[in-house]
Amino acid sequence: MIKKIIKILFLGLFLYLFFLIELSPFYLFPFLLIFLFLINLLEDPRGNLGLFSSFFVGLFWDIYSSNYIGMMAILLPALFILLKIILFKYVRIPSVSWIPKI
Amino acid sequence: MKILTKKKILIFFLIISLFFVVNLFFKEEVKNIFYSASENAQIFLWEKGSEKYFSQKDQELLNRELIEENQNLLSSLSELERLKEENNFLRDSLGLKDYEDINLIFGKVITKDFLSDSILINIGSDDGVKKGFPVTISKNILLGKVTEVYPSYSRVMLLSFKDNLTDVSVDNIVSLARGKGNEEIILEMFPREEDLKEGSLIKTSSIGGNYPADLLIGKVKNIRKIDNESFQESDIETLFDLNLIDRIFVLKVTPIFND
Repeated sequence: MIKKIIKILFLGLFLYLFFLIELSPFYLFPFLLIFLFLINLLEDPRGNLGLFSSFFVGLFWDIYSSNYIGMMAILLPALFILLKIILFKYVRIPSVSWIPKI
Repeated sequence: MKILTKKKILIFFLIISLFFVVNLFFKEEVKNIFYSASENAQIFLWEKGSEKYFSQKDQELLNRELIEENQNLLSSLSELERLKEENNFLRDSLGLKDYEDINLIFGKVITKDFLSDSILINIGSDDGVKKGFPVTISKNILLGKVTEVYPSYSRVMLLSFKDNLTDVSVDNIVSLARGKGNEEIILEMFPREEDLKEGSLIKTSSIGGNYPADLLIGKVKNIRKIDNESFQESDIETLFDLNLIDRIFVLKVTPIFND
């Protein structure tokens, strides 16, 4: 359990650093959103990495914009869960086994 | 195999309730804590990013543009000096006093929200910033206005914010500037029969009461006259490059503009 929490916190920290880069003039394209799509598309549907990643990105997005805190943090994971359900039921995309699981 | 387990649904609703409480009671505090924690890193990234962006621009082209701009400015300066003397003479002879200088609060840009045309600056209510204060660079080039104020930080809505309307004046004719998002602004409602010149300066007008008059917004570019329309429009070329801005000023304007 503690290992899992540490993994989640590290994921949050890692995404936070990338998010700060995305807010600076180094921004070229929304690479975090693309990263989220790829992770959610390719990971094992039972995995939670995509879910936690979208939660953290959504949370940082809310904090650094004029949104209500939690708006995107809830919407993004909900959107990706929906995407996963649709993919799992109707589309067969090979999941990538080396994506770490949380 | 189930993707949505009972545990996940329960956690989801718990998180929603937590966010609800945070938004109700601690929204400003939470945002302020995050902004303080990342301030130094963000200023560092902003400075490094600006340097990189500047070095990428074609230096030769930039120099040529600057020389041309400098020549134009020098010619306007001599004209202005003559007008200043004339103005002082007339003021003295009429016994008029100078207006008090508008107070300025100095700040730095921390981040830009690339999705909504707003920036975050490192001064807030503790420094005397209030909602609605205009934000400028180099004293009179307008960037936008303060829309959210936290204890140590403020969010500034840029003029290019989508559908943001600003009353402007071009050669003493009042019209509107509309934000299009993505750092683009267009000039609208300029009477068709009036002469709109490429390169004319666009300044704020005090008619709307949002900004003091005569703050610079940009230059007229790509004039468009559409058949059957009683107005003409154009793009607005802004006088700054957002990626190169570092320091900003918040104008503590009088209640006429702010209340």
